[in-house]
Amino acid sequence: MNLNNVLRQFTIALCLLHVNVHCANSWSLEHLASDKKLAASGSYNNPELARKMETVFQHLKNSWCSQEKAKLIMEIIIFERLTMCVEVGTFMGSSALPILVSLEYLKNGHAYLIDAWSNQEAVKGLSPDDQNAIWWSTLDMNAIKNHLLHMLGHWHLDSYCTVIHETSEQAVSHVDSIDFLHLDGNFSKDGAHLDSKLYVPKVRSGGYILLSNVLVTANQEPTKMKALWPLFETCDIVSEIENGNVLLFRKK
Amino acid sequence: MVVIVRCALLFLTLVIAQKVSGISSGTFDIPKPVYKFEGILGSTSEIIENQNSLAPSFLPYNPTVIEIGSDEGAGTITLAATYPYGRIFAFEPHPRAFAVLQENVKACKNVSPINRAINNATGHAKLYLYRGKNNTDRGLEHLSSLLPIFKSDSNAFDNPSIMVPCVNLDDWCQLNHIDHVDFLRIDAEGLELQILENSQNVLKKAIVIVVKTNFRQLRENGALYPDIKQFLEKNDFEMLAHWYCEDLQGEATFVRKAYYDSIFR
Amino acid sequence: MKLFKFSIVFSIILAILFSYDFSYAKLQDHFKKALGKSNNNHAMRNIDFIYMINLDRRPEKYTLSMKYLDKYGIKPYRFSAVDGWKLSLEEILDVGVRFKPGMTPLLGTTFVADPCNSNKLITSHEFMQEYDKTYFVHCIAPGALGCALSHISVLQDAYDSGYETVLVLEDDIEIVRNPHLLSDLIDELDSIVGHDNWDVLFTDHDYRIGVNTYLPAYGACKRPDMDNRPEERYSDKYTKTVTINQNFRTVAARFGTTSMIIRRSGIIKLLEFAKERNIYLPYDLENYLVPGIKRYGLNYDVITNMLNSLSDIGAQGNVTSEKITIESFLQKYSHQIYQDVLVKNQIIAPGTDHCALRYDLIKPILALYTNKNFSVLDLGAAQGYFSFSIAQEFPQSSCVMIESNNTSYYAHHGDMLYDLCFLNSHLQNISYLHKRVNLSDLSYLNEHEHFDVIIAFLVVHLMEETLQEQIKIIESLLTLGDNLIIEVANDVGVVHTSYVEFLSTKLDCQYLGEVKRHKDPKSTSTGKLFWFRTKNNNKKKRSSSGARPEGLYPDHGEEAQRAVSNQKGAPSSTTHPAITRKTFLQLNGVYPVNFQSKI
Repeated sequence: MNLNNVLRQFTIALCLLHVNVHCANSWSLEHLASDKKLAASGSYNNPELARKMETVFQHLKNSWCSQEKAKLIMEIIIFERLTMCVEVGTFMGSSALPILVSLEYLKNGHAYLIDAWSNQEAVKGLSPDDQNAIWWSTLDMNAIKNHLLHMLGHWHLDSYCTVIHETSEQAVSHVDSIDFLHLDGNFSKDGAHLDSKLYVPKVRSGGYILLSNVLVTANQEPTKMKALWPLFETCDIVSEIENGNVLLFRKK
Repeated sequence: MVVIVRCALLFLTLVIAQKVSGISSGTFDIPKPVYKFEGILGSTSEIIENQNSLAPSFLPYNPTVIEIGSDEGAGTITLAATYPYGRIFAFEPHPRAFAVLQENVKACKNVSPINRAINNATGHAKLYLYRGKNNTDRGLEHLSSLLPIFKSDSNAFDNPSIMVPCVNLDDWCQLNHIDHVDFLRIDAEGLELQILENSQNVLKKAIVIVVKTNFRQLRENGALYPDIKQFLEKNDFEMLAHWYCEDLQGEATFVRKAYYDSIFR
Repeated sequence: MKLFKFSIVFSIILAILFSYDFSYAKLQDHFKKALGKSNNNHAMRNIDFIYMINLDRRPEKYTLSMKYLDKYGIKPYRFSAVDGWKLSLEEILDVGVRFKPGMTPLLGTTFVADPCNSNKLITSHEFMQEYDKTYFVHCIAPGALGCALSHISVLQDAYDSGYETVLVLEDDIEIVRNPHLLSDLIDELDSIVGHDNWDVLFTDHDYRIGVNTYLPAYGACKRPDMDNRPEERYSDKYTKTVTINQNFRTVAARFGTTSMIIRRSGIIKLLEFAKERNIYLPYDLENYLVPGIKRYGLNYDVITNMLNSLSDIGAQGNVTSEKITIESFLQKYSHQIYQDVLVKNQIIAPGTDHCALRYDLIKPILALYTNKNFSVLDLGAAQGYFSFSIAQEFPQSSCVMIESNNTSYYAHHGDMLYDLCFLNSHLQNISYLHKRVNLSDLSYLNEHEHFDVIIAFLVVHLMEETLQEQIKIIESLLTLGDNLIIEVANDVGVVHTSYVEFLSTKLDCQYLGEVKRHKDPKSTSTGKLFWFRTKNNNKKKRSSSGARPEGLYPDHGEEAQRAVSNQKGAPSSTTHPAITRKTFLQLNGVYPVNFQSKI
């Protein structure tokens, strides 16, 4: 690359600071609705909600759930009043927290938090010498689940959720019509595809599906690509964040 | 792009090497890679993609370039192509990597590979070979360093080491009649600050310094980015661009303040 | 006594002579003359003469600009521009600023002769230290020097010709409003500020970087021979604009010199400044530094800069494309190249990626059109390997390439392809649109054109960042062509790849195969090629005779002619010609230079 004219480049960069640049890879509730509709919802620009969100963000610093993802989850659940939520792959509860705090804000709704909390299940479908498999197999899953339960107690969110300690295959019979589905389960090709095939059909028309860790790789190849197919088939894509690693769909 | 790949590799290495300490410690300390950029030129993707091309805009057509930690020479070849009329001195102490480096730069007339480590003083020193937690993965040896690995509860193992010849940069330049170095590129696995501190003559005349940055204590006495930045700013440099993986590693370009001010102030 | 006086006078004369620097020629020694001028036809009311600065190797830009002006009966005089890329080292060193005591040292750019080829110049970025060495602003390109010299040469000609008011145009203009409005605006400005009280009137609001989007300047640039203190550079002189009325405003620092009306007073000031101080900055950044210059602009655009125009100023520049040779091409583009470079059907330089493998996969599809006219759109053509191969092997094809600079991990695709078109000028069935196309452009193409075959190799994921937008692009391509051959990668744009794979199961699609992308044996990157057949879905765009339905393009006489010729037993009844002239101009067509619609 040649900096053809550093002065021009620098000035252009400065100018862009003054121009409202829409970043393709970012979440904003404005993408979903007009200002009028947002204002009418009562939740938009609400100071109490903003404080709540800030508290959640602080807690989630350095966790697996980025601020942007937490914001997306909370805004979509609150604005669209998505009261039946399911999360596949709860793990420590980093993403469950914004889901539950949103339901608490709405004073309505329930979330099913599904995870096998099993080393064996976590590495299912992964090659034994894959780095992911090595990592998942060494975790103290009991401690991780206890961490989640501790968090739920600390935030008084127990009444808004049911923790299901089962595989995603076993747990699917517990859920029916889903408003908001967060898929972040098994990292293997087959496991991710299975989760998608089992749970996406359970999402009602107009419901939302958030797929996390889209770009994860195992055995040097991306594993969630087939899992996208049921979503391509039945949904429209609404938003992409974290450079395409997290995708939000809406069921047609 | 190279920085992203190396960060990802290091991230996986760290994740494997760590033990989850359990609820009593308060956190599980499982980092998630977040890539960031800071610098005067903002975050236009073109600049990010071509961060390595920033240096030529501040250098004459025939610069003297010193690359510390050339490994097998992937970056060295790029330097040779970017500065066809410059002189590039590529330092690599690891014998196996050096052999590959020599072969790779054979056709580059403007490159002189040197089988030395750059250190505080001239002599010999231990090169601590990094081969992963189980000491089996030779593919990770480019992460070797003159500094031993930082020991923590979750990471208590010893590295094998070999003795390598090393040289102080100022001494080497004097011996080889190099009166100035325009571009210094350092990737020394934690030793970056010590090298800079002990190369005052080179530092006085250098124009651009590209240095690997660390945000975690990976090596005993290894320097972290804030310390490097502070040191270089005290020595009349400004940070131009820094592409990094949060809480892990990155690569920063510093340029002499007068040059920086001339363009941006 | 007499001898003493003589000695004093002689010494003074000698001192003057020795203090005068004879080692360098002056700036004006490098001015270019305006040749072949006639004073007829190149005027408008209130404007004595209209110049258009145009490089000899850019006839297409001149043709396009003239076409726009012709509608209004305006005929500028074509001033043959100074080609900065052809200036010798001596000329460049003459016209720049020589660093002297008392000047502020800055990081500048100078030029040296290539040690291996004295005809070639190398830029060198240095902090000013050496007195009498010539410097320019950091990172200036020779093209900018040519542009500056051209403008100043025009000013000299205007001065010598005695003109009171001139209009100076560059060759990448866009007409937004009737240019004759400018004559009335000059009357109005004279009445507001006084006939002798303005020097320059810009015929637009500001320099455009998008539709209704302008690039503001925030102050003066540095010159080593001027006051560079921030309080000076960011003073009102360079930053403040004042609206005078609904038409005019004062202009401080701004970018672009595409179209300016210059009064004689302005001509004198600009010339004096240039001759006294030489060239340091690009012309538009130096223009406003002239002491006492009174500049005005409009609150809207009348004649302004064309968007997405092929620049001749940039660092890489272009040598005269008609005279480019294989040797000069290889010298100019010595960096890594993506595709194998084909010239007259021979590979003159290997690329990093396999091309023949992919061509073999698509050849059977192209062979379906044997002995028929057919059109091909090569989206993201890179070095044109596929279009040049198709055009060579299928002379009845018409290949339209689309490419642009800075669209890929590899640099300068746009410039390279332009040069390669000239090196492959034996092919009469290729055309090249130099544009980074977006959805809006594809919508335009869908509305006005259709292709038999579209090839989109590893390009869609580079056009847009988000999957949402990539899906829209694919949908657009599916309606734009009868056959869409798309290649997706296993290691980049993986979500996009997944979508295409999904789509291939839903539509009429044949999987052509997976090929190794890179020649590097260590690389594991592959590409999968899919052939989407959409012919039946696009029936509504064609009648059974192959001609477009009448009335669809009422403005296109050419379209109607083609439709008629198709009906009259042209070789194909189901294939389409390439693009119209309107499309060629709309999407910044740059090759062939004299574009005609192809059958």
